[in-house]
Amino acid sequence: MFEGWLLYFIILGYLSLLFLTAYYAERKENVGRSIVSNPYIYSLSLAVYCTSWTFYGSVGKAATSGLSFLTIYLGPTIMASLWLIVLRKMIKISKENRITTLSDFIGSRYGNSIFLSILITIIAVVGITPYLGLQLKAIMSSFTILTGQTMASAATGWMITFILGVFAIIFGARKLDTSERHEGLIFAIAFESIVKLAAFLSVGFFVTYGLFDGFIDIFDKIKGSEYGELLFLGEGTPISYTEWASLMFLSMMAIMFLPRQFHVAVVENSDTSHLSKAIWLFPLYLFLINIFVLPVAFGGLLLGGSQAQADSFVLTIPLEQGRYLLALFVFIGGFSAATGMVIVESLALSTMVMNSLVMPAIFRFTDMRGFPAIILNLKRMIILGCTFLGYIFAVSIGEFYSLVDIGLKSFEAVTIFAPSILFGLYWKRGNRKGAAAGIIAGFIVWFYTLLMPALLKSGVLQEKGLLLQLLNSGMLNPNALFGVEGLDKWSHSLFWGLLLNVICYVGFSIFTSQDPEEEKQALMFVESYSPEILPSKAIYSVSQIEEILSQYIGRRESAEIIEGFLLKNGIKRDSVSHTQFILLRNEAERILSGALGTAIATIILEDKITLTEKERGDLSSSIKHMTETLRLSRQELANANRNLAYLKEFSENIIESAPVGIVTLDDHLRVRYWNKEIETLTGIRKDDAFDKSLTALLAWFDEEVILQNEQKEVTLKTTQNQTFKINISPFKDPSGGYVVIFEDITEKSKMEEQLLQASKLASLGKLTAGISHEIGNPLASISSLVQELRSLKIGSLITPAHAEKRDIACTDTPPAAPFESDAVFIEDSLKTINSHIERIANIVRSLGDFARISSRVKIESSLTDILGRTLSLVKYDKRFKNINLVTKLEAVPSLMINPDQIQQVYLNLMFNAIDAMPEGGDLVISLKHTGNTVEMSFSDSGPGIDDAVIGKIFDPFYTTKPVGKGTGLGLSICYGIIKEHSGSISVKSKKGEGTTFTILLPVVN
Amino acid sequence: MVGRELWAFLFMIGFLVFNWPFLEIFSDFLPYFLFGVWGVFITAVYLVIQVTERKGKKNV
Repeated sequence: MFEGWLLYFIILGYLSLLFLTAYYAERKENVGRSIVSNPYIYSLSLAVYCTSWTFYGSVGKAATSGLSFLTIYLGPTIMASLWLIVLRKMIKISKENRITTLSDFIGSRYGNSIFLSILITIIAVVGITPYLGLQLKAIMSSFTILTGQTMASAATGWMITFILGVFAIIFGARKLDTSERHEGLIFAIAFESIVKLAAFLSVGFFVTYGLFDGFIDIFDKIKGSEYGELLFLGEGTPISYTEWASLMFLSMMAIMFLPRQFHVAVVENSDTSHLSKAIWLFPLYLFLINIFVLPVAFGGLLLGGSQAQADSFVLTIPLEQGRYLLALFVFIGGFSAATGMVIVESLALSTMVMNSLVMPAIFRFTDMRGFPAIILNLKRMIILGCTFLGYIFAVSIGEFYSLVDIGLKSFEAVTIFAPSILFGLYWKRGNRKGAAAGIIAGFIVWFYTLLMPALLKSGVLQEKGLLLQLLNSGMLNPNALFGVEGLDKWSHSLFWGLLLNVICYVGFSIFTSQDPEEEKQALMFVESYSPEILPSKAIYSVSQIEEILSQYIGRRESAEIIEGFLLKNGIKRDSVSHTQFILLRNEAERILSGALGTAIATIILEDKITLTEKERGDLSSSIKHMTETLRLSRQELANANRNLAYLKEFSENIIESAPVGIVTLDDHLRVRYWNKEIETLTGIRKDDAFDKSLTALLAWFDEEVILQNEQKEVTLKTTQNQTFKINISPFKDPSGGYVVIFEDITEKSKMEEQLLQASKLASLGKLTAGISHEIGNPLASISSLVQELRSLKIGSLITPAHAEKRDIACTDTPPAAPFESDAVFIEDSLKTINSHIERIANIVRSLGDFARISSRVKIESSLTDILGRTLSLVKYDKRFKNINLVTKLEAVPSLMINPDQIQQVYLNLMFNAIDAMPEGGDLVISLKHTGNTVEMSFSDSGPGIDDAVIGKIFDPFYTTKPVGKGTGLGLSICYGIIKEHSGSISVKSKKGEGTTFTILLPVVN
Repeated sequence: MVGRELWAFLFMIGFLVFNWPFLEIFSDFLPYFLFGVWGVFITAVYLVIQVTERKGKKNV
């Protein structure tokens, strides 16, 4: 155990250390090297939320109600996720309007209402006093436990309260502060947050791993004990789901609207960007400080501690285990938690009291001697007053309640402010009367359902007379208002308080109107709109401003500030422009706001540097005009935005739905847009294409085509044999770039080729029909004449007359023998002529066949039969003897075909094969039925066809045979016949490996 | 989803998972569930702020 004097000494030593840290931070700030303006210190300062309630009370709550203590920390964790929306707006508004307290914030929102500021201040003082008392109670209890004496607790409590009050003054009211921010104080609070976290983690680790075998061990043991229900929630446990949700909601409001949280989160914020880290760092702090709460609470119970003493487990466990140094460290941690809260809360409350209650009453007595000193001393007295008010609560009522019970009453109290603040931030019509009515209704419910039962329990109020009747009435029972039973006291008070608060706020706001000042302030808060102060026409002097400041903050301080400001802004005292005066006035208002509050600062400056009635009127009209213009502009902007969004969506839909690939490029040919179709065409996804060079994505794309910077259309073939028609249009925008449209024309090109082939065949058909007719007729005559000539006896026709004529021509030739020789010659010539005529007739017949192929009639015929007939014809060709014929004929259905034409095809293909194998070879003919087609193939083992000519073999008159051996029409005829039958013919050939012709004919029912 | 909607969504999700019926569903191992989800929620907030800040910088 420890001696009392030693603990006093430690307390004073610790507070001195705190003061030194604060002093160090202030010195750094004064030389322009702030160590406070960073998100980590900001997040740690927010942990002033964790008071002795967290340090001692959470363990007590966990030991009596199980997991419900977590609601107090889960609520702020969830609420933190909205800070970038709500808290950032509050900070922005507060900075712009130089707001320094919660009462200023609400009062300012509702037309700078002093009445509302006063109301908020009174409720805050009444509501927060129990919370201050809680801290003092915790310090006194821990002092008693460490000294082991139930001691003269009143005297000790008084002394501790006094010490804390004095230190709160040292931190917050050492001088009349002209700034709304206190970097020294915040640094000290951040330091305390580290101390209390380290202390709690130390005791938690000691209990969890020193006395037990970790979390699982403790949880298993408590589950098997009489306290097993503490691990559960809901029916049959100490806390219902409704109470859980209510407590969570209360803590969500508390983290935003407790005066000290408002002070550190809003007033002391130096940069809204710090919120980005605070929204996860602060919840992480809460997570860490709570991680050992359950093990300590359950450990205390398992070690034989009672639930009634559970608030002090963190101290009693190390003490009972003989770990005195650890106990002392824990005491300092708990003391840190309590002092941080007391200092910041009393400072925040005293500023509220000063700005809202005291200054409105005395600010006009500036003629009083030493007025600045009076203000400063008043503030000091108020700080002491706030801490002693907490002490009175702690010793009169606090002993009847647990730490958590006391804290939750304060949470319920600040929830009264929630509708006025939250509605006020987002609903312009919310007005002063609504806010006042809502706050008063909420306060009455809070007082009647929570505070009055506490006063009754402690004996401050007596159950008699009218009060007794009220308590026993069915409608106004404080634990079951209007006869509604079944709710726990927190949910009950929250439900009725919030309901009446919101109804009154909304109802009054709807049915009553706002005055112009309220309208202006509502606009500023909801739209975050802050008009610049208009330059006044009147001329003011710098000394006038200096004089005003000196009345409230002292002559020397005022002179220093003014000189510093003039020097910093390069302003000469005797020639101040209107704009410079506005700057100086703003600075003066900021200084006075920090010292006296926004409302009073505004009044003082308006009183002293008044505008004329006409100027006021002009200003008011100007604000109204701006407000109206702004409202209309916003509407127009919103409409334009909607239209723009629609147009954007519409255009994107068109581009995305287009059946062509659309790409936009910047002037460096980097992809800026890549539509869905181009994804399909190229297989490259939009995300992969974005910001890449087009030529890097499509290797086959020629960069030069684009860089000519003119609209053009080109056709390019890809390495995968795709053919694209590409349209390139440069942007007319000066920033440059291109729109490139890709159209896949691969199929179209093939069709065009086929069409060309077909049209060539059609033309040829007509041509050949004419030729065969024109040649056929005279040829027939010539042929018949030749036949006739040959049938004559050529020798008898050679007469002497003939011989004479011949002798005249050839006198040297012997007469007899020549006759015989001429006859032979004529006979041979006629024979030759006849064979040539036959050949010409064959060609003409072929031409005729070619011309007639589209006019034949189709009948149901068997391909196998036709093939048999064709083979029986071909086998008489002497060249066929060297051919090894192999047939693979499957059963195929009969088709609607022209048997003569198909036989023609067979003949042509077979003769081609025979021609290709003059020395003999293999000819494989197969016939099979596959699905809806019949497939015929003719494969020879000839020398094959060159790749260079294979594309031309179906062209009319194209032949690879020697001159005179082929007409070049055979395969064209085949092609025409098969197309006529709606089929296809294709060729596969490799040099040296033979050739295969494949015909596919559809099976038509 | 823009920033404002994302935070509101996260807030709603947070309020939902830390209340009935999830608390009843996981009642057999409630302490582990609460601390586990708490950790996950903080991580989610951290990740969202990282992503939104990165996007913000990109837009700038």
